[in-house]
Amino acid sequence: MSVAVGPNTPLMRMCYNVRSVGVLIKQALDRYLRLVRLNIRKTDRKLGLAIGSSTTPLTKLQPHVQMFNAYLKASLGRSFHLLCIVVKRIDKWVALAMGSPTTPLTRLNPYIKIVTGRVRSTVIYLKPILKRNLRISRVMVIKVDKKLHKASQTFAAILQHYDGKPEMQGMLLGVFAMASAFFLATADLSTRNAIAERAAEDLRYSLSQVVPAAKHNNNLADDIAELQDTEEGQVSFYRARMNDDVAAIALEMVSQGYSGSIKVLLGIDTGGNLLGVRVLAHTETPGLGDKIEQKKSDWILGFNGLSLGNPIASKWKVKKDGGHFDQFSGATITPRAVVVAVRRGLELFQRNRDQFLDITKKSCPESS
Amino acid sequence: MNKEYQAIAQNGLWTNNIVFSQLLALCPLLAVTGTATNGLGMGLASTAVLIMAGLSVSLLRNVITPEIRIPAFVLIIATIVTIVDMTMNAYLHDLHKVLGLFIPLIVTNCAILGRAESFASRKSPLKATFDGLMMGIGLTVALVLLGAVREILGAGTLFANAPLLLGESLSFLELTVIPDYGGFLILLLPPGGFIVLGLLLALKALIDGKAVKPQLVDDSHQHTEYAFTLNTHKADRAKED
Repeated sequence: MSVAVGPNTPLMRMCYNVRSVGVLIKQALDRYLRLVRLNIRKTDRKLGLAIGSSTTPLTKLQPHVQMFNAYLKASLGRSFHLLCIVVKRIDKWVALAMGSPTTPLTRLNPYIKIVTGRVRSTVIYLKPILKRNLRISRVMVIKVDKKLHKASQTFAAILQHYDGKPEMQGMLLGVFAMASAFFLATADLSTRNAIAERAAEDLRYSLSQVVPAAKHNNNLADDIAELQDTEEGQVSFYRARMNDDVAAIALEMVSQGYSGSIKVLLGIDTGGNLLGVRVLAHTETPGLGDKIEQKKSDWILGFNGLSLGNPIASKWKVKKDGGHFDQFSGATITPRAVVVAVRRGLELFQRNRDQFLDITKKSCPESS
Repeated sequence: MNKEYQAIAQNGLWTNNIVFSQLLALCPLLAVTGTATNGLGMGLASTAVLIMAGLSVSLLRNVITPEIRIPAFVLIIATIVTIVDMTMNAYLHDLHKVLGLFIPLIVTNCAILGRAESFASRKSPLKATFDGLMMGIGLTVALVLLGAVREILGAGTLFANAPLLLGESLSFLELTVIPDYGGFLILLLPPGGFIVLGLLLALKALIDGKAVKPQLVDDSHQHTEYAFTLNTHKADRAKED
């Protein structure tokens, strides 16, 4: 049984079949084989047989392959083009591919019969080597597009020339790096907006946690303002307005925790009392320091209603330092950092109260 | 075929368990197993990355040359972790808030590189994926076990904050095992992780019947595997030259 394939059948198909040869021989020999390419010269043309697989060297198989090649070389007719012999082993496919780019397919057709006969004997030859029962299922003759074949041969030659050389390794690694960069850039582009949206939602939610909705009727997240402080430098904050009068402000403070900075959001009313405190971001130890999050513990709610006079300034510390606030078992540095951040925020508010509350009553809020 | 998968499963879950046999992944292990919930979160995130890394390394195993395999694997794993991180942040935001802390830690997990090197780079994609799954389950079980022991003895609770990770429907998991327990701080800190890990290792050795032999756990196994890989790659190269 034979199937002739059209002139534009890509070389890829052959490569694919070649790969499955490797797999079968690998299984047959119970050895891991490495991809190998053997070239046999037939007077002036090259006949190539390739066997592919994954890892270990071919030492055991190589002599057999060479013998097999020699056998084919001797037994095949002179004019052949490119053919692929597919041998079926019950459920597995074996493919052998041989290439020679010149002779037209028409001249090959009479040989197909002969080739089939040869294949049969090839199979008989293979049987003892593979120690498996094989039977021929199909002989395919594939004619390759000449230009494509030439291009692929040139490419293969280049690859072979550089195979294993440092330039090649560097190139390959470069290709990997570029592919990674491409995937990362794609992922970044396609998630950037969504992530920004989620962050904005989080901000709105956090703001609503530290400034009660009843206190204001403006869009808190959009009413951003900035001021220059003597100690903290440039500070940006959010104003909560009730009918244009500033009723409260929300302010972000950062301080150094146990393993990185802790971002704290404070809500402060006009009298300098804390409306609420929330931790926006931190990298504290899970299970120990993360009790500063409201969803893990109610500790952070303990700040509600406090101000610089309540408790007095010297008590704005954790209990271990002689202050007012509880620390956690196993984590003192984390709550200490939060207490410091809150105190600094309140002091900042005290120093710049007029600017925070927009006492000059600008008609338009500043925007950053 | 089935036997091979059985072997992979047994390897991942017990014989070659990432934590209890290979003693890999210690950095994230000690950092997050203060509670069983955190262990579970880290285990699930690592499993996802193990599966994806196994699959992609296996698919690319014929392209990657032995000389550049380590940087290539690191690139692949880091890329996967970053993409998973970004995608979760964008589309599974609530879960990301809980697991987000663990995801960057996965990159420091040498077990993933170890599996890429010693298994995925030489096996078919299906097997590599299955191996990733089994290794991941083995790791998850180990992390939850360690977290549970440390949490019960250290804080008297079990699966605290589980609803944050698994949803409110599983809030029944949250248990107070020892009421009015004062806490045993050292077990919650990294030294406690080492101590509990040591005890669990001893327990496994006891079950495996290895405890009688004084030559510790046979950790040379892993090293020889690496050495073997290196040598075969060198041999291949030499042959081709």
